[in-house]
Amino acid sequence: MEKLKQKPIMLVEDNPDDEMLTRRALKQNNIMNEVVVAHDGVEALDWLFCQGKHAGRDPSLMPAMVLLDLKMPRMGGLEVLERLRADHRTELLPIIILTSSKEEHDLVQGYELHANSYIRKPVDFAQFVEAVRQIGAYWLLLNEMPPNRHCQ
Amino acid sequence: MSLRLKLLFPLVMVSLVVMAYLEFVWVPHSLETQKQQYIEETERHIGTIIEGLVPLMLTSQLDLVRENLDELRKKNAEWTSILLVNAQGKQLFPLLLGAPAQTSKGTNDQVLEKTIQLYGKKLGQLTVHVDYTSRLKQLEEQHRRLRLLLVTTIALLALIWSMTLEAAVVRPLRRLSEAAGQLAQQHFDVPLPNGGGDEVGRLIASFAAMRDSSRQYRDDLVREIEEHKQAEEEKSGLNASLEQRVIERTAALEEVGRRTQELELLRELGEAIVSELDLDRVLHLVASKARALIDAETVMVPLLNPDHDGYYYAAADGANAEDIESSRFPIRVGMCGWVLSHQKPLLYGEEMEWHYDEKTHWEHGTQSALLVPLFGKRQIIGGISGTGKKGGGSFSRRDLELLTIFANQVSIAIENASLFQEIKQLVNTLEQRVAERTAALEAANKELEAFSYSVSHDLRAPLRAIDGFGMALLEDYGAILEGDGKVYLERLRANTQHMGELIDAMLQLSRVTRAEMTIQAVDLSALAEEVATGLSSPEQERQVEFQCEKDVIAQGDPRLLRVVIENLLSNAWKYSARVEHPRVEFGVLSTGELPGAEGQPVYFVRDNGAGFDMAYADKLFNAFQRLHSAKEFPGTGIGLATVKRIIQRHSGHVWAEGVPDAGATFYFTLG
Repeated sequence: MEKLKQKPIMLVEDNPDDEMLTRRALKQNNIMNEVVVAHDGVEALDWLFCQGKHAGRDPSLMPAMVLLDLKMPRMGGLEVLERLRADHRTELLPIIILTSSKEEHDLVQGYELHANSYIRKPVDFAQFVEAVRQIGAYWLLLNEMPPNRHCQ
Repeated sequence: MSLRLKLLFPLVMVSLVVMAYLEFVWVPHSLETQKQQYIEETERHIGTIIEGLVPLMLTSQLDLVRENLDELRKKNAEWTSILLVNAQGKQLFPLLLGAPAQTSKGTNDQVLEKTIQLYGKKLGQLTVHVDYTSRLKQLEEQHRRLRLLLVTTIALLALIWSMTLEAAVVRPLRRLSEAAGQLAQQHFDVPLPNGGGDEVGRLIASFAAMRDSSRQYRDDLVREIEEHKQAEEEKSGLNASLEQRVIERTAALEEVGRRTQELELLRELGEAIVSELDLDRVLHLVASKARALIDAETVMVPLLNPDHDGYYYAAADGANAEDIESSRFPIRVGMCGWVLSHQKPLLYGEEMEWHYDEKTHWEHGTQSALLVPLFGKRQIIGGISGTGKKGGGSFSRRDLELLTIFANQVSIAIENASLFQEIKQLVNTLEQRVAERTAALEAANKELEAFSYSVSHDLRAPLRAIDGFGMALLEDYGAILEGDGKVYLERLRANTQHMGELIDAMLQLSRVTRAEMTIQAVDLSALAEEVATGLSSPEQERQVEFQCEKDVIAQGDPRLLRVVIENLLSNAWKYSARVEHPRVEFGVLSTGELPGAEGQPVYFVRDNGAGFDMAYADKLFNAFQRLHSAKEFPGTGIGLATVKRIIQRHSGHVWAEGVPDAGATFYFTLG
């Protein structure tokens, strides 16, 4: 449990407002894990696979879960998901799609690519805070983590 | 070989074999055996004599010896001689008086010699000649009689056999065969022999049955032949009169045939053309066939312009055809112009009032021309024009007549073909337009999809930010806000949330339009119950009485129908909020209960809520049209538009009835 708490949460989100609000919602729910933010899909993959500008980071550090937005510049969330699931190191990583989209196409594809969960961001911030609380409670406390796999 | 001989032959053969056996084997053997028997008997006899002689000879009582031997000779006639000599070879019997004892030598003469001895001492020798001839003769005589008896018996047997055969088999068979022979000559009344119960009898009975059925068959045949002959005679009589009539008719037909041939040719030409739908080919066929029909050097087919102010040669056949085709002229030019404007046929060279402004250049020097108008269903469409009779000379009235009939026939074909061409062009244009529209629609759909995706994602993000930061402001700095500051922030948040709802409703409306439908049986009752349960969750303070008809099954897309039910029921819930005893009902009206439903089941959702003024009923289903203020009843104004879109996609109708403050009923049909 102690170890788990030290694991960061990865937030893949291009919108700084959403980033700020998500951080606020996490904070309000007393989820104190470090939040690693990637502003697009490419950055997320670089960090997770320890490549590009994140080539030098501690490879043993992997996030407890990834909160993945779908619509982002450079590389969208669904492609990130596909790459992560295709890679041995990240195929078991809990990935929660957290998006504004309610499009069925996104929903179906998200599950087809083996997302662990698909959560739509409510417009009402109070509801959003509640959603983040439940995500934290479920994925960080209730759920048993898959065995750790990392860059090396 | 006759049957009798065949049957007799084995009998005779067996008899001959038996007789040969008797003659050559059995009789000689029997005689020989008999003879041996006699010899043995005689030898035994002689043995006893010698025993008697021994004491006599020892005592030399020669007289007694002689007496005994004499006695013996007399008793046994077969013993031709008896000779007794003593040990010294002296003859003791018969007494020789110088002459040797007579000896008769027969075939069956046998000499028996016996030595007389006593204890090995020879006393003498007795020699006896025996002749069995007489005895054997007797035996032979017996044999002869036996043979005679046998031969007689066999002959008698053969005779009886032969007679029986004759009476029981041969004679009936002969008569049967005679009857059969007669049958071949068709004599069916020859008497048949009387058969017994044996095989021959049965044969005769079968033959009689066969003969009867043959007779029956012959009689039938004869009768049939008679009838046939009669019919034949009648027929030949008829044939004769028919032949006469045929000759007469043939003459008449030949005349008709000549005319028919002409018309037939015409009809064939017409048919070939009528079956063609390609206008250009039809016109060229018309030109070439018309040329063959009237023997013209050139045939042209002028067609009128749509405005009837000119004409053009749509097809030509024969000399100068290529020059003529496609050339256009004003209506006042040429013989064609005259025919087309006057709508009358023209036989150039005949006396006729006609006028044209100028000749077309191929009309110069034309000796003979023939023109007829072509009439469509309603009006003149063009004409057929022949110039230059082949081999010189002029066209005749008959040519004109033929060409007129021909023109009448082909005009329909020309009109059909031109209509067909028009339709084909229309279809082509239509297809092209459909393809263009489809492509445009697909592009629009894609754009719409991209748009709604963008709306879904991009429009909601800033709203969430506004709401989020508004709330952050309230939470973090609420304490220092004065006066209406907090209220404004609450209003800001309420508005962002309303806009979020609007966006969701609009997205649903656009999704409903695009979604693919899967039509299947949907249990509307179950759906309504489920939605109603959600609407009256414990969080809701007020209780709505919901009445739902059971087992209402409809054909439709289950997801879209759920949207319909959700919208209608939540509306009913919402608008009955201010009633003391809110009541919502879902059900179906059977056929004919409601006018205008055209026999389809009509589903309905009824409430006793706020209702509406029927004057605005037609505005209900338009997007963003609301009959109540947001303050009264919150809403997006898109729900019923969405319902209408879904019902339309199911080829159904939706309408509403309402009375202000007395409730509303929403009806819909599906397909």
